Order: sequence, then C-alpha cells, then structure tokens
Amino acid sequence: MTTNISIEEHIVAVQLGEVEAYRFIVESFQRPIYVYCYRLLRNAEEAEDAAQEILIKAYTSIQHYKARVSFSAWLYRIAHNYCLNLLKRRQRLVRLQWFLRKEDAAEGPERHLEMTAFSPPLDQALTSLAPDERSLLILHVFDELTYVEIGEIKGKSPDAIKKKIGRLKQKVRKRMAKWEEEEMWTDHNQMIDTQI
Amino acid sequence: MDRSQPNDRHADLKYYAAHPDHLPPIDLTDRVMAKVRNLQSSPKRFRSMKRSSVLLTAIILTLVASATAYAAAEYIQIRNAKGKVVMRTAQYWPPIPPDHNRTVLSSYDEQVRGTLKQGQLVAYYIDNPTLNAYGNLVKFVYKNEFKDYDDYVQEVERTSAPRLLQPERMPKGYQFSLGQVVPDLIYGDDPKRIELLDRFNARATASKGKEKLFTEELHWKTSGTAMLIYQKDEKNFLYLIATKGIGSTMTQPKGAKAEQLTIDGQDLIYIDNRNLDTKVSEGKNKMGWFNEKTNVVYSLSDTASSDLRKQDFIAMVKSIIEQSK
Repeated sequence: MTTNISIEEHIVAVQLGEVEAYRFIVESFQRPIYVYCYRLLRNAEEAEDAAQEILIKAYTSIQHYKARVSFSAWLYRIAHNYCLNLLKRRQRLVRLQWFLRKEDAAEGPERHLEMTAFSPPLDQALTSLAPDERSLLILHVFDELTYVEIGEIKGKSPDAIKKKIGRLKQKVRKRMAKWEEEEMWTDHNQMIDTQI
Repeated sequence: MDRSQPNDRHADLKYYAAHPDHLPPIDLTDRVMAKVRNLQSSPKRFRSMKRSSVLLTAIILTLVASATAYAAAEYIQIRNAKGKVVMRTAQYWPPIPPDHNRTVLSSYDEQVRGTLKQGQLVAYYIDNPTLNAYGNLVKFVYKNEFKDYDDYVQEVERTSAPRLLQPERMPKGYQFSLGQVVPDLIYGDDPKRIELLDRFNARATASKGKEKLFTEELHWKTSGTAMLIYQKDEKNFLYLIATKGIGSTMTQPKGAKAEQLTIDGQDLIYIDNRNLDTKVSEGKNKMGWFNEKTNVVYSLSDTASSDLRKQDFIAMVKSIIEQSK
C-alpha cells in the first residue's frame, strides 16, 4: 500500500491532467470500494460493476475534490450514493416483477455468494435496516470511517451521525440477539421432534 | 475519536462478517484506465485545480490542503518535454462563507494568531459545524518572519526551504520588507492530520460545548515555501514566492488576459489584471513559472494599486531565473 501523501500527490497530478497517475489511485482504492459495494449490494457481479463505475465517476469529478477530510471519504460518498441508487432501482425492479407475476431470478452461484459477506445473525439484522442505514453502519463498522468523514458523506454534523449510528448499532445487536434466541428455540423444537 | 481499532467495540459485529480477503478477488485497473483515457481524449472536459501555492495569509493564503474548485473557460497551459502539464491558468471561485460567518472565522483566526511567537506553528479547530463547512476542519497559523535578509537566508538553509534569493533588478522605490519561511503543513490524508483532528474532536466532545476553540502547537523542522515581500509605500507591495511542488495552477480572474512567455529558456505565464477593478488580494500583475529541475514553483505578484507593467515584471523575473539556475 502507499502512503497517504503519495495518494495526495497522485490526485494533484490527475487534476493537472496526468491521466496515468489515476492508475495509482485505482490500484489503491479498488479493493476497499469493491468490498464496501459487495457488503451493501450483496452481489459479487454487481459490486464489481459498481466499483468500476464509481472509480470512473470519481475520475470525472476529481476536480471538485476538496481535501477537507480525506480522499477516501470523498470516494466513499460517491460509492454510497451510487449503491443507494442501485438498490432503489433494484427495489423498483422487484416491485415490477411482482406486478408482472414473474418468477424471481433463479438461485445461481452469485446468490450463494450473497450469503457469504455476513453470517446469518448479522445478515438478517442488516437486512432489517433501510439501505441508507445499512450503508452508514457498514461505513462506520467495517470501513472504519470516522463520524466526521461520514458526516461529510451525508452532509450532516458528526454529532448527528454519531447518534444515528449509535441507535443503528443498538438496533442491529438487538435483532441479532433475538435471532439467536429464535434459532435456539427452533433447534430445541427440532431436537424434541427428532426424539419423538 | 471514533475510528475503530482492531478488537474494538465492534468486534462482535465483525465476528459475523467475512474478512475482506475472503471475498472474491478483482482487478479493475485496466478497465478503468481504458475508460478514463477515452474520457481524457474528449475535448469537452478540461478543468483544473490548484495544488500547493502557499501565500502570505494577510494577502493571499491558499494552502495545499484547502483544495478549491476551479473552472477554466479559456486558459493557458505549459507542458514539459514529456508532454505533462506543469503550469496552467484557471478561473477561480472559492466557496465563500456568508459575511457573518466570515467575520466569525476571522475573529477566531486573529485570536489564535495573536498568541503566536516567532517560529511557532499552531493548529486550531473550531467546534462549529456551520463554520467548518467552508474549509479545512483543522486550520493552521504560523509566525516565522525575518526583517533581516541574512536571517531569512539562514532560516531557508536551516529548514531546507526552496532557494529564493533577492532579484537583482527591482522597480524603483521597492525595498526588502520581510522574508517568510513557511513551515511544512500537514494536509489531505496525512495520518498526522487525521490524528490531530481526532484529538480536537475528543477535546470538543469532552468540553460539551463549553469551549469552541481548540489549539495545539505543532513541532516543525522543514519548510516547503519561502517568500520575500518588497514594499514601496503603504499600498504597494510585491510578493515573491517559491513553493516545492509538481506544477501549479494560476488564478486567472474573469476578464483578465493571460499569455505565455519565455525568458532565458524558461516558459512562464503572465496574467494581466490591469484593466480589471481588482481587489487587494488579486493585484494588477502576476507571473508564475515552474523550475522542473528543482521542482519549485515560483510566483511574483503585486497589489491592486500597483502601476507596474509587464516589462517591470519581465526584468525582475529575468534576474530571478538567472540566479536560480
């Protein structure tokens, strides 16, 4: 990995018109952006396409980058907005499919991969959140962005973000605990059934 | 601050997530680069942004960290032998806070500046999201001024600042007033800057709104910018600045003329604001050039009431270029 200063130097070089300097930025950020997309979209193929589009979009907007917090926070803002738009489109498509009474897509290998980003307790707890909330939590917990950085992404104060994320963590932990209780209960019943 | 650490309070959540290394591998580099090369070859997009011009705060202070938006309708650009753009002009519009906020920001700045002693570099943070929306969350002030030219030269050597010596030819009436050696500042993604911001945030949180201004003195050893100021009278100054960098964008106000010149083999840009109703910070003339051998960007500018002409600037710059070879 590279030093942060050298990333800054490369950003400036791109801003000055040196296209090839962007290679360094792509190499530095493609993986974390892809992983973020993967966790949010839960689909490897979509995440790969999304990461590619986000990096291209970042290139076309790089002149607007302001080093107020960090380049990565700026990049995550693009990723956050892109993925949320994608999820909205996906929801609309699901509604349309329901209306047309079409069958859902067959469960292929990607469907299986969707389940590997998170284990079931966390997976179902995150699913219970709105996409925007899920993204905030992923940015904070897994991508380790600060409240200030997430505040920049959302255009809100760090304090407001801190409170929001605090509530989301509480909600997710509660859901996970409930899920585990229910799972134990189910397992227990299955055991009784088996014995009978 | 709230940046998570390994085995931190999120460990219970992370336990249920796949490690990033276990997720499918990807390599988008070639695909993305192919796209951006196509985009670059499209003639419609060409914008620019300043990198690292550091000027005297009292006059013009645009720090590297305060990256600002630019758009250029008509511009000049200078390429080096390899075809890389090293100098360009661009129109400039900084995000300007409303008057009231600007006054409050200035008052904080003056408050911290008033406490400075010679050689000090101080970072400060204002616990106010509205004010922070207009620029860097962490702001810097410094005082490292030399009224004696020999002391200035000594400081340039001590701090490895860019070599910037007095021009041999000066316009009539202008005399050396002040030399400044600007401390290297931390900016962008520098971990030290993030840590600094974290410390400020922790202090602000602990204060629970009782305090609004937080300061921290920083130790510094090296400099990336040297500056010489010449004065004729109360209104007429000349600012000569040398900054380590990889290129530069010069502000070209709307309506100003810009042209490319070559002096002793050195390409440079001249911006003529003389027909404009300029503010103090803009001045009437400006010249800038990039010494690729030393990676130093130079700029020379005057003030709004200046009656200097292009020929005066050419004479000064010629003598600077000669001695910086």
